[in-house]
Amino acid sequence: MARNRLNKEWKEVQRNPDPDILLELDGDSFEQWRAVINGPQESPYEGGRFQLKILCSASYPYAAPQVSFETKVFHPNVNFNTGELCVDILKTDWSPAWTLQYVCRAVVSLLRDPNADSPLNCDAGNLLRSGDLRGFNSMARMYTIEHAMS
Amino acid sequence: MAPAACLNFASMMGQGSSFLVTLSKPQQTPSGFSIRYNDEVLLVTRVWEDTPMDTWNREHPTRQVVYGSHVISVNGKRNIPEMIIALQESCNIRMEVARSLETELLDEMISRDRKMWNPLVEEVFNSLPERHCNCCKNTSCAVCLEDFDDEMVLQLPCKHAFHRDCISVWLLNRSTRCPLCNQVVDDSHWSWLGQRVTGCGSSAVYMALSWFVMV
Repeated sequence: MARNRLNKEWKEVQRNPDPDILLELDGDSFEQWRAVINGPQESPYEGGRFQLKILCSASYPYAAPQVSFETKVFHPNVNFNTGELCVDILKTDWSPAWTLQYVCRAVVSLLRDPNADSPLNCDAGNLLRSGDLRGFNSMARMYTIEHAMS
Repeated sequence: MAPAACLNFASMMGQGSSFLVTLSKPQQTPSGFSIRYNDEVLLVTRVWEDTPMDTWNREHPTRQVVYGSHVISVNGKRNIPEMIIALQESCNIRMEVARSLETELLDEMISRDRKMWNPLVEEVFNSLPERHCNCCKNTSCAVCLEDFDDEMVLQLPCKHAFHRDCISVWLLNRSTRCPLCNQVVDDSHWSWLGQRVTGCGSSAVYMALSWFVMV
C-alpha cells in the first residue's frame, strides 16, 4: 500500500507542484523524502528556505510520516537541536487522507502561526507568551538569515 | 455589602463562575454542540459551526460555551438524564454553564473512552453499507488516492466512501473517524455496547463509561 500510494503522490507532486514547496524523493526508495519550503511572507522566516526530512514507514498512510527540520529554525514548536516538530496533524490528528504535500503546507502554516502553548523550544515559547513579539521576531529573523538564506 | 450578595457570590465562585445561556431554535434543529457525561458531570466537547450555539458564542463573547464548559442545569433541571432530554427536545433552552476547571477530567474521560472504543467494533464495521461509487460524495478513495472505477465501495454515515480494504485498516486499527471529515463513524455503538455491558450485570464497567451525545 505505502509504495503505491507514495508513487501516486510523487506523480501528483510532479504534475501540480506547489510554488512554495519543493518535494522530492531522497534516494531510490519511497521511504525517505526531502522537502524545501519557503518561509511565509510577513513572518520572520520570509526569504528563508527550510529543508525538511520526511520518513514514511511501511504503515503509511495509516501512520503519519516522521517530519523534522534539517535547517536550524527558531520556532516554539520546533526543537532547536534535533529539528523535531510538534504539530497535531502528525500526532493525534493524523488522517490517511493527508498527503506529504499537505503536510508540508501544514508546516508552512506552523511557521506563519506559531503555537506558544506547547513549546519544544522554551526560549521561543517564553518570548511569545510574555508578549515580547519584537524579541521573538528578531531572534527568529537572525537564525533565518544565518541558516536559511545562505 | 449585604450578606445575601456575599453568599451568592461565594456560591458562584464555587461553580467556577456560572453564567446563563439562552437558545431559541426551531423544532428538530440541533443546538449544535456535543456533550460528554457520566453520572456526575455533563461537559461540552465541541461546538459545531453555523449552529444556534455557534451564533450565541459569536454574539456573546464573554459567555461562550467551549470545550470543557460544564453544563450545570438546563431549564431548571439539574439531574443529568433530565438535562439531556431537555437539550434534545426543547426549543427554548435556558442553560446554566460554568467556565469549567474540569477539562482535565474531560480529557481523561475521552482518553479512557478512546482506549475502550478504539478501534471501531468489528460488528459496527461489518454493518456499514456497500454502495455503488456513483452514489457517494467522493469520486476517489482518499486512502489509496485511486479513482473509483464503476465499483462497489464502503460508505460511512457521513456519505464519504472508500475501498473496503483501504478503510478497514484505518477503522479497525487506528481510529473511529472518517479520514475526510473527522466525523465519528458510528455513535450508536456507544449505547449499544453500554446496554450489552449492563445486560451482563457488570456495573463496575458500566460506571467507568462516559457517554457522548450531540444535541
